[in-house]
Amino acid sequence: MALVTSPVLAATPQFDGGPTVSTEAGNTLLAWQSDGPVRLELASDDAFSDARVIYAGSAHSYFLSGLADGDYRLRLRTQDGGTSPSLTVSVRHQSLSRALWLVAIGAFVTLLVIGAVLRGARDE
Amino acid sequence: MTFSAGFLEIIIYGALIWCALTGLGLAGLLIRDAARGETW
Amino acid sequence: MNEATAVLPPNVGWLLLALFSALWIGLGIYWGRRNKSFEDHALAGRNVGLALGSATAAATWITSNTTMLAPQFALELGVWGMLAYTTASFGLFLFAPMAVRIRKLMPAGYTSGDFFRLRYGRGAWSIFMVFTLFYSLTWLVSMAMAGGILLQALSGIPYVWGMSVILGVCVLYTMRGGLAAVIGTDFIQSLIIIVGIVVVGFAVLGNVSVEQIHTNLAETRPALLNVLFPAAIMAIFNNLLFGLGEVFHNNVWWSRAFAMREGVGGKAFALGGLIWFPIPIAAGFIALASGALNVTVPAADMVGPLVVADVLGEFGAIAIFIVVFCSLASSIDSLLAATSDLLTEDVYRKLIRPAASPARLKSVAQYVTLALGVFTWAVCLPRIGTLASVLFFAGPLVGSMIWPIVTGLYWRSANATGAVGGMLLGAGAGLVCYFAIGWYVATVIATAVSMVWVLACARMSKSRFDWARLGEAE
Repeated sequence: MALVTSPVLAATPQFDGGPTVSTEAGNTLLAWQSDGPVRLELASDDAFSDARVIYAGSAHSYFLSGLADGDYRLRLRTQDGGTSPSLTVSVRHQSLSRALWLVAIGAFVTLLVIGAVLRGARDE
Repeated sequence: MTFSAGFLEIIIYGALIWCALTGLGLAGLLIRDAARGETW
Repeated sequence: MNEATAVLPPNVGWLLLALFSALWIGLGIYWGRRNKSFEDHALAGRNVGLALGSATAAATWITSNTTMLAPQFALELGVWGMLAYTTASFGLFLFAPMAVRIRKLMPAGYTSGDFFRLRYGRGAWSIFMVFTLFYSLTWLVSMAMAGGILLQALSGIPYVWGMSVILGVCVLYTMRGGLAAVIGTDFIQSLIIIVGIVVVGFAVLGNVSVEQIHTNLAETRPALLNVLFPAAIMAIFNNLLFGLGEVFHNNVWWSRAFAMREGVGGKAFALGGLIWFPIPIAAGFIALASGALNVTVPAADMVGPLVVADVLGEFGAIAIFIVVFCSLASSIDSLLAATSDLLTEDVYRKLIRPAASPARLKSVAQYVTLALGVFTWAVCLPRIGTLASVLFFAGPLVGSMIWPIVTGLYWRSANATGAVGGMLLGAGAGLVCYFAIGWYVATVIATAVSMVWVLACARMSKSRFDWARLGEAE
């Protein structure tokens, strides 16, 4: 990430880490540097046309979770209009078919354990 | 497919009421055990 | 998580800490006076009744993980996350018939190590000891560490002090009072936890309706309501089997099976499961309310206390502090007691000093408890956050022990080749999958691989175990 160090941008908030984050479970911890309170905006396009404020305050982190598949854009804005470079969160949930296979294996093993315990001793 | 508000309502209230009942049950059980001299 | 989020003034935190510490230590000393021998100390005289038995099963299973991780699970994995968490109660339900069987086969047994040694011999016993000590010690370290971190986050008490006090108090009353003190305090702690969760839960619902929570989630965190959320549904059986492995193998549970009076064990574990079952939902749903209540969550692991403190103010913060302290203490004390008994019985008595007197064994057990406490303290001191995550490696280890234990208790054809191979192959395959695919497959794969091997060996074996040999434990 190229950091521009001009005096004008000194008060510009910055997300920690790179410009994109990808997640397989729809959640990620956002952390940032800022001098004062910020508003955290979430949108679905680069132009932030449908931007929604999901947090406003002085904290330096926010736990984002429960996002559906898609690419999300986030940015921080300060009261005096400073805007951070945008961050892209790319959500690609794990394969549902693999998840269902694991559920099937887990259910099978569990049923056999339950069966073995409930059946008890068979050859005494 | 999403979990409905009704389902959420049932599990949340259900869990809280269940907890409250087990708390009472546990206290009752101790009193019963103590009365019979069977705590330990 | 940092001090800026502290919700209680430090002096209130210190006062609560002092009050509860004095209470637990006083009770430990008082109940400890009943204990004359190692059997009294380790197994509370083998005469624990139904009320105390049920409460101790539930309280031990309510760790800081239940009261703290359940909200985090809900926030990350949604409704399925809470439901997946409740499946851990299956460990207690299924252990109920096993406890009856254990008491019947081994009326004079002390530990789960006794079972492995007598049933499968030294080889399987050694693997069991490595697995169980890894699991127990990482669990102990992760909880002591969580205790320090939580007290700091809740009240600003410095990490080292909070961790040292929690650990020190638990070591003191467990040393003095043995399993009786652990079980007695567990009863009080479980009632406090249940009342705390119910009061806090209804108070939160007084501020926000389930309807509002649902609407907010649908708008801002839709995946949490998704019935087919892949990460969450994968967690269901992984969690369930992790729970089974933990309960089936660990001496925390076996020592309770031995300690309960004849005829009590089965009912007590089943009731313990019923008591535990709703708690992940009752404690977890408040995380789902964070959005509707407009509470900021700067870190997933603090979501529970933050929501409660925000909604209920200082009253809520005090309630959460007490609930967390009780859930930590009720698990740390059990682990200290059970692990010290395991080392005393399986290592000291069986390997070093078979002729040791009952009084001598009792004092060895006390020193081992102290040593475990000091060891845990030293490991926790530098606060290496990544250590707690080592606990997740334990999933494949404990999963691989499920089948050797179940078949070992019920089938005469189960044999040492099956047990040793099942544990090594299962744990190995599970750990490979952990790193190659992810945590959510590790326990399921470990249990499945171990199952196939154990069943194949039992099928092909001509040997038939003589149950009377388990009764030889004296």
